[in-house]
Amino acid sequence: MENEKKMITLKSSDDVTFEVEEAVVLESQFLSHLVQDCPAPEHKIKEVTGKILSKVVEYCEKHVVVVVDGGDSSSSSGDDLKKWDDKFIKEMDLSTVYDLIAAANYLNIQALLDLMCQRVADVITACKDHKEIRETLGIVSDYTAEEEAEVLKENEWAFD
Amino acid sequence: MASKSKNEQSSQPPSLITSLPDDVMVDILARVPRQDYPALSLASKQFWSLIKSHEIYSRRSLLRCTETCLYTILSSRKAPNDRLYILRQNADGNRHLVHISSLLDLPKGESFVTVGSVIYGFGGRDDNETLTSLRAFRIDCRSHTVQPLPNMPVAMTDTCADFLDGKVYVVGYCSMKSELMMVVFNTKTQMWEPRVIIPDTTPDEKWHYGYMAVMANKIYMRRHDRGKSSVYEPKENKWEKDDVLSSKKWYVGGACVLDDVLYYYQRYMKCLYRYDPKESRWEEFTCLRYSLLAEQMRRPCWTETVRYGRNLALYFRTKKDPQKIWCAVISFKRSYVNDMRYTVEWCDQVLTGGKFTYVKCLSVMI
Repeated sequence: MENEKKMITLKSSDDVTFEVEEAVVLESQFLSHLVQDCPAPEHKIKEVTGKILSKVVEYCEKHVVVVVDGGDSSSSSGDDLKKWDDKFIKEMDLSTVYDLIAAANYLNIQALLDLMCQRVADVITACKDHKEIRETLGIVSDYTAEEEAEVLKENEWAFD
Repeated sequence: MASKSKNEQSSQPPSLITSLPDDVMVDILARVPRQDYPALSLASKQFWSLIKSHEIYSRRSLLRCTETCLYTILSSRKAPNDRLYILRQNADGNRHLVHISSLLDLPKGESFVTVGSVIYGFGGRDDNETLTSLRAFRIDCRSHTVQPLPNMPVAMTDTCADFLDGKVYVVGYCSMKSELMMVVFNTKTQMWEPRVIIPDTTPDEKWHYGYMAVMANKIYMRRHDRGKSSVYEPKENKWEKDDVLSSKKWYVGGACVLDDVLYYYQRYMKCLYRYDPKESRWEEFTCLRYSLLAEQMRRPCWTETVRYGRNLALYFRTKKDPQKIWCAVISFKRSYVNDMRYTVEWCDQVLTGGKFTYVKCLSVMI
């Protein structure tokens, strides 16, 4: 009987520590391998800041499949999780979303990566034109006037 | 761990989307609807080059983000080129056929078939050519560009084409030898197969613009006039007849296939039918909310159907105003009393006028 939960400490690039259950760490493919290959009690993740790692841990703790006392495997129901995910992403500014995408990509947490990429895609979709896309995403146009005219001509069908 | 208070401001500059690796950028952009790609292309050069890449389209299919786009080819006898249109919803909610003006050199084609995001065109002639044609080309609907393909092995006229298992089958009338022939184009190698298939038909059955449909690994063909529906099984190179399918003139008004079932709109009766080859029977639909369509559809002089995702797009023109094109999207389901019912989801006038002699509607996956 493995009733006692194994705890693992994760340390961010700026030395913020998080004590989490092993099951939470297993949500990340990268960390699963790390924990298996190197059974130290503490793991430093140089590429992720404390601010972002706290979000990652928050997400993984919510999504982990919990083993309850009776031995049944259960996780939060699909609808609840979706509601939670919606709230989770709504609270975040885009800069945090990008950092979280980079972290999810590095730590290989596919579900979190999917959620965050979809969030950015939805933000782009909600923009009414290329100017609003630039403004929302903080992009400065690198087109010359001639180049822009050329791309516009190529895509004329899409503009009123 | 409890979530922290929102919008924690750090001293670091905010991260930008451009700092993400290209692979992740592709993942994001693949999830954006295709209609927004032109605006994305205009936003920055990086977006533009990603949208032009092959990766984004393979990622779209991997993520199941591919969409059905409806294209229309309009041909005018006098114009030297055909014109390609896309069905687009404007900001005001109305749908229109919009000319792809960047595609200037679209050759005149006679028969068309779509394979994924590519439209293949066969036959067709410029004014000074003979009736038959060797022409073959492909339109890439991702980039809206056209490329010529190797000539057909036999010059043909009155062609029609369909796709099955990596191959496009083109059947047509070869006037030199006065007989029907079928040639095969391999879409993987982009080459014609050397073989020519002679359809098993009786000589008195004139072809003259037939129609083809592929259901359950078989090719169904029907002549324009009274002829029977021939069925070809490419794997065993076997020809059969399907008398039940032949009982309706399913070429008139255009038919299309969804999940191995043929849907056919009979414009004189204004009825929608389906034919399931497994059951070998025709079934007539009951229409719900018929009034929406009936107003415009009183006297259609031309109809065509194409598959539109899980629905059907019905294009039509009316006798009163044949230079206008309407499009209605129709959904259907089997009711609790086991009859098939369809509902008109929307119906818009998608082209308000234009000079054209030939219209071909196509459903493309992008």
